[in-house]
Amino acid sequence: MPSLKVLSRKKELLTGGHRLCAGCGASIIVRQVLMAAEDPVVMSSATGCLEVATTIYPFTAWRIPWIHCAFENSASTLSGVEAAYRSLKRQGKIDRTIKFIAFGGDGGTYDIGLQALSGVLERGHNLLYICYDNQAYMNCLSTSSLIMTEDGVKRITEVKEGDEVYAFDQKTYQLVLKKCIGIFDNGIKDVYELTTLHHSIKATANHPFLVLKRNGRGKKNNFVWQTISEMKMGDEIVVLKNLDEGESFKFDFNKVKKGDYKVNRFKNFLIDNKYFEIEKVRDIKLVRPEPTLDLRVEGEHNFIADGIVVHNTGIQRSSATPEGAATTTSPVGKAIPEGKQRPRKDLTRIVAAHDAPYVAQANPAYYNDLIKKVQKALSTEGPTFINVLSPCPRGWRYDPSLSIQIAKLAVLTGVWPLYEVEKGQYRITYRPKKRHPLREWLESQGRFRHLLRDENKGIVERLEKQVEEKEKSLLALAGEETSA
Amino acid sequence: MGKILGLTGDEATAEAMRQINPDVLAAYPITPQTETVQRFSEFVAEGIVATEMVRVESEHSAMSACLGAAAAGARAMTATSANGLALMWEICYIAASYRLPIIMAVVNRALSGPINIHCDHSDSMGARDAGWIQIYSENCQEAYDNLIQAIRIAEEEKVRLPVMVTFDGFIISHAMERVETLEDDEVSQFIGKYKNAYSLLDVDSPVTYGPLDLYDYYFEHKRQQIEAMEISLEVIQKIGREFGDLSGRYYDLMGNCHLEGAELVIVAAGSTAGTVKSVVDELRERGEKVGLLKMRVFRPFPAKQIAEVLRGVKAVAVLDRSVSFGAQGGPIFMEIRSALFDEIKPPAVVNYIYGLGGRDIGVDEIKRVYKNLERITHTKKVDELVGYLGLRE
Repeated sequence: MPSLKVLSRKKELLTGGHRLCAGCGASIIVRQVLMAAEDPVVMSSATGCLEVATTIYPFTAWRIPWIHCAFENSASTLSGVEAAYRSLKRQGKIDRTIKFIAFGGDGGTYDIGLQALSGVLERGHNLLYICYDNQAYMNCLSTSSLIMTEDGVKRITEVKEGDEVYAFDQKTYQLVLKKCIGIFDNGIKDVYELTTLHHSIKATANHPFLVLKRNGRGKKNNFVWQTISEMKMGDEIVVLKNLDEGESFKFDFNKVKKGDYKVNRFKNFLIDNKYFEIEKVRDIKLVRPEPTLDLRVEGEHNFIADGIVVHNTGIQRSSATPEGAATTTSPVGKAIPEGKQRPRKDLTRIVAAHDAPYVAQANPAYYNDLIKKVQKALSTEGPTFINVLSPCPRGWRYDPSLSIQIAKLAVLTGVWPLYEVEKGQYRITYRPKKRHPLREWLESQGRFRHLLRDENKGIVERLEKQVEEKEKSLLALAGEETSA
Repeated sequence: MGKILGLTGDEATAEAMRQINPDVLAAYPITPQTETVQRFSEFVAEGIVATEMVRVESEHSAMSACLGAAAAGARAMTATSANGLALMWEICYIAASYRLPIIMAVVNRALSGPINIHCDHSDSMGARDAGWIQIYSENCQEAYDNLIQAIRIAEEEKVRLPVMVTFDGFIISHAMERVETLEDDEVSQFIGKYKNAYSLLDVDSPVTYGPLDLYDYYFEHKRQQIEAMEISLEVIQKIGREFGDLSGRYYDLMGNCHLEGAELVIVAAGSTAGTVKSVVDELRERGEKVGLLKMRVFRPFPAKQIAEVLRGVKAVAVLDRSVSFGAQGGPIFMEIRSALFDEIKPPAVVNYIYGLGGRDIGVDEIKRVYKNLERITHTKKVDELVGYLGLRE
């Protein structure tokens, strides 16, 4: 294999200017993969972040022939391209050597696209399928939303990273200023309009709002985050008092009372709260599909859009989501303290069970290993597969600058072992001398934060055990000894 | 000169496919299409076609593979029925929007549920808004002829749309008829060589297929699709004439029978048109002014041409072998009635839903339809706008 230095002189085949998030694993992986390919490549992508962010018509970030068809058929679409290649080559209509690479996210591979992938593996197409596994369906607000910032009301499209935006402190029920740490293009989504007495906001069905839960006489009321799809008419949500649209106005922090605000049972407002009150949901209706954006706010995971307190949207669990991760469809609650309750699907081994000639698991933090695996796969006759862990700052909730560090942690803690299966023979390609405690992995990301509470110790122990068991079975498959 | 063969509809289709010799054929078996795929598999096994056959694990993947192959510059074909077409649905729309000239034989079968394997047109009629050209065939000969013409229509530079050629499940697919075939050379000369100007395999000039197309361009792209559909009307006519020059069998947008001077007309698609034709011949001999308008091309819908040939007709009965639940009648009926709306003296138009799930239709029922039309012209009154033929009520 040529050195990385040599490889890096290769022309970038995925150009800059695409709209993937800072710190997104997908673009890093794609660049490493394309660096590894020696022959011309034709690529397909499933619907998902990679596709949406790299090809907003009339622009494309691809300097290679590239096709996207739908969510579940990256594999079968490319199998048609590859069949055409074989046919035309046999007929003497084409003489170039071309390699074929299909890309899919975990949703498009583990879940909805599993059948198409399985079919491709069984039929023996000469292509490499790469799953960029960010472990959930990543996901928002309409671009017309007005956001409360330090400098007054701004359209969401005008908010910049680093701007101070107002958020609702869920412990003290106070208004607080927090830094916006990211703005995300979420593409076209069905947008709903939610209307209260004084406010209306457009957001996607999975966008969470802060809803008042009345627990009855003598009991304390509390607030819960609920998505539009979970809300009904009459639900009471936290809104801002007196929002004048477009008017810039300053908040006086000194006027915000500290302490636990109570909710008046008869009048729908927070007693003595200058800025927030409760209003009933009057109407929820589907408006139309619209382009959507979302903000990430440090600390408090909420901000104020169109006078209504909303949560950062994020992620829906897929069958690649690890047990214990909080997503918007596997949230943490009293009854379910661990978030996602089921372990993830072990897709790499499922693919290996198809007796595909080359199957591997890789990680962008170990680029040498990844590049070597891609080159091996591309030089293997028949269907090959590489499952690559793709860190997602948004969904996993960490600072975008830490992506590669976090990817590395996945290997060091045994969450994402690096191995390959060549003609049925398992081989571990990199094994840390001593496995780091799982806690390091869990501590690095917001999606696992709830697991670190004392009462969830048992869950962490269970997860630790799972990593151990999984390692043991992998070592057995690879014929290696378990470390002491 | 070609051969005269005894072929079922499925076999005639497979024979046309053999002569077309597509670069890629991706298919999944489903009754009553199965014999086509089986027969073609034999051609592949014997090495008499150059085709790369992709035996996919589902129709969804069949259409996906066809889409990929067509985008790679290959001539791609498939065949399916009913639920198989329904499973392809999502990708059918995408194939049309990418302007890929994929050819699909649809052996019409009732779309579940409850499950039923026999003929009606609910499968292809359901896909009528997918952006595919739809050509209905009356018999095995037409299934063969239409499939060959479809290649030319789809690949015409200003059209570049996918085409489905349909024929009735079992009634045609499994009935053996006399089929005149062309010579292999004649077919390959007629269809010519396919060249996709935007092939994925042209690695020196990379193209991006299927980008995210937002509100700033999507609408214009849809408008172009509409335009291509409209233009295809004259292309279908032109190729029908060229095919006639080659084979002696000329094709137009509709297949008309005794429409000159006709007062009472039945509109029908598929094999039923043949049954109606025999009734028309019989009644004409008795001097009755009856005629048949055979729906051949349903998408694009030749509204202007239909209004023209029905001018002067007193009453029209449209036979629909599918239902549009909650609509004002069957899909063909709604189109025909709408096409006649601007006529100064439009005929009375009634609708008969028939043959769902393979329920047979015979000459007696068709004669009764003509009787009803006659009564309408006498009484000048339509008692029942949408009726049912052969239904126990």
